[in-house]
Amino acid sequence: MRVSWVAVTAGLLGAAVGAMRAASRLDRLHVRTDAAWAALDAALYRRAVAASSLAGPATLRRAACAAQRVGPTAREDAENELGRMLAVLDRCGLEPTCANRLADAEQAVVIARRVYNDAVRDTLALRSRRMVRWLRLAGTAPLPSYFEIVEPELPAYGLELDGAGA
Amino acid sequence: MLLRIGMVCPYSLAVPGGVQAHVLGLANGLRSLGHQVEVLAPAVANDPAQALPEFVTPAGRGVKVPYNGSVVPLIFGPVAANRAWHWMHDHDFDVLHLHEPIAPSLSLIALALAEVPVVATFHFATTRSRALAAAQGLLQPTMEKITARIAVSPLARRVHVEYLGGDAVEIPNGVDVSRLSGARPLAGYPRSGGTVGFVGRFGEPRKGMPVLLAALRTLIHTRPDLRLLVVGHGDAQALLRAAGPALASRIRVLGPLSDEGKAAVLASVDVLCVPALGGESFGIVLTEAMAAGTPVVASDLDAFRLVLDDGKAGMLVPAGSPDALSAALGSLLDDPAQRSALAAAGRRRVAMWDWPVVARRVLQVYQSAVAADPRRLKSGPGGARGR
Repeated sequence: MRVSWVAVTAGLLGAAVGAMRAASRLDRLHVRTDAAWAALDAALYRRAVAASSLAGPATLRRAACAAQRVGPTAREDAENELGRMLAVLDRCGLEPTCANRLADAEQAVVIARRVYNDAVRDTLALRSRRMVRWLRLAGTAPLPSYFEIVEPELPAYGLELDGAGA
Repeated sequence: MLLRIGMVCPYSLAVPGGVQAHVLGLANGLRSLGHQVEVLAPAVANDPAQALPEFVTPAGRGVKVPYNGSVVPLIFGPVAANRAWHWMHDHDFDVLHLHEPIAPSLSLIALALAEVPVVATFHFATTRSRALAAAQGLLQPTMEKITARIAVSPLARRVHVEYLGGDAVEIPNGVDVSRLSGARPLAGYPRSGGTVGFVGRFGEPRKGMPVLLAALRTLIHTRPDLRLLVVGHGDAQALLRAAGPALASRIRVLGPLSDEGKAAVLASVDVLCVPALGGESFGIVLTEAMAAGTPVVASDLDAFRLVLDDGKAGMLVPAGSPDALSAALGSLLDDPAQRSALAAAGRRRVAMWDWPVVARRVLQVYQSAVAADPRRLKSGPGGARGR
């Protein structure tokens, strides 16, 4: 009889420790996701500012201004619209400093988006675990979502595979 | 903004290797841009046989461990952990850059101890999926500390996405242009009569040595003094037997060489031939030859086509065709003007893989990682994006 009590207590204790560790891990992941979102938000804003200061077509400036003002729900569409405008922009006529600033800002968006989506992926993976769902370890933290926009074609370097996967 | 960067190399600096060369090249490139870089690597302090750059902190002697099909020197354990901890606390880094943090290694120790944003670079396109998948579950809480990831090739990125989860920014290996362009040729070279170079594991069929041998057999009829210099791992006797009596006397197998030795060979040959049949994701030897000012004749694989700017920075021939290869080599060997034109085009092309240029791209990843540092979030969690 006593043995089974010991076993049950040990089991409960183990589960409690596991749950506490998962909870603190989850907390870290939420903080990481929030910080990554703040960085992505800033990178997107920087791209929109760089685009709106260009002497490009009026449609581009409109899209850039819209991207700076849009709310979170329509953010992906607005950024995609700006991305489409930038993809067809003729950069040869741009002033070199402006063109470089824009290219830098675009590259920063690509990296920031990967950083953010990585954080989301890790968070969602842990939140889908049964223990986390049953014990509601995530508390009231909203479920993060991927930021999906079309990635710009960056110049050069994009070395593709030659088919054979050695 | 100048950064304090802590870089961790998992493999012993006493052994030459791609990752080690990458770490030192990148560190030098970043330092040339004015950033402070410190490297922690398995190495022995005050080893007379091996002078370490002043920015390298030795973490002790590496242990040889079989990993991914080869034996690599790794280091781990409480002594290494203690050194890593002190190294981090002494330098107060803005960002940590760990190379290959998936093996049981110094990089993984540093990751476990890290308190600053972490950038991780994945080098190998290892497809040992089961081992990776098994380790993945145990390592996941530690791996979650990585802020941004870099893959050095499309293949490395794909393996990373498929087996480790998570995406990576692709930044290729750099090449040390200043060192290669200033290398001295071997004694007696460049010589008249024509010299072709080959660098790589010549025994591996996919590297295409049989195609080159067949092409050379045609060429020696009209070029009695032609010579082939071979650098790399492999069975020299088997190569000479495969070459046959007529050709064998014209082949010099130099075996695996140091970076300096390889640079000297590149400076010595008239043409570097890269006849690979497939399975190449980048072709670092192409960039090395271009940096050395050596004209290149390579197979028309997609990876090589991109590196050689669609044939503008080097000659492309159909993969696996000895006739096309001998024609291309012959025309280049006979035409010094074409050789110097290709060499000049190669030098212009390779500028984008020069370490300071690659280092600028890595720097953008550092800046993104620093921007995503939770310690910058003053308001704490909750203020960010909802659904």
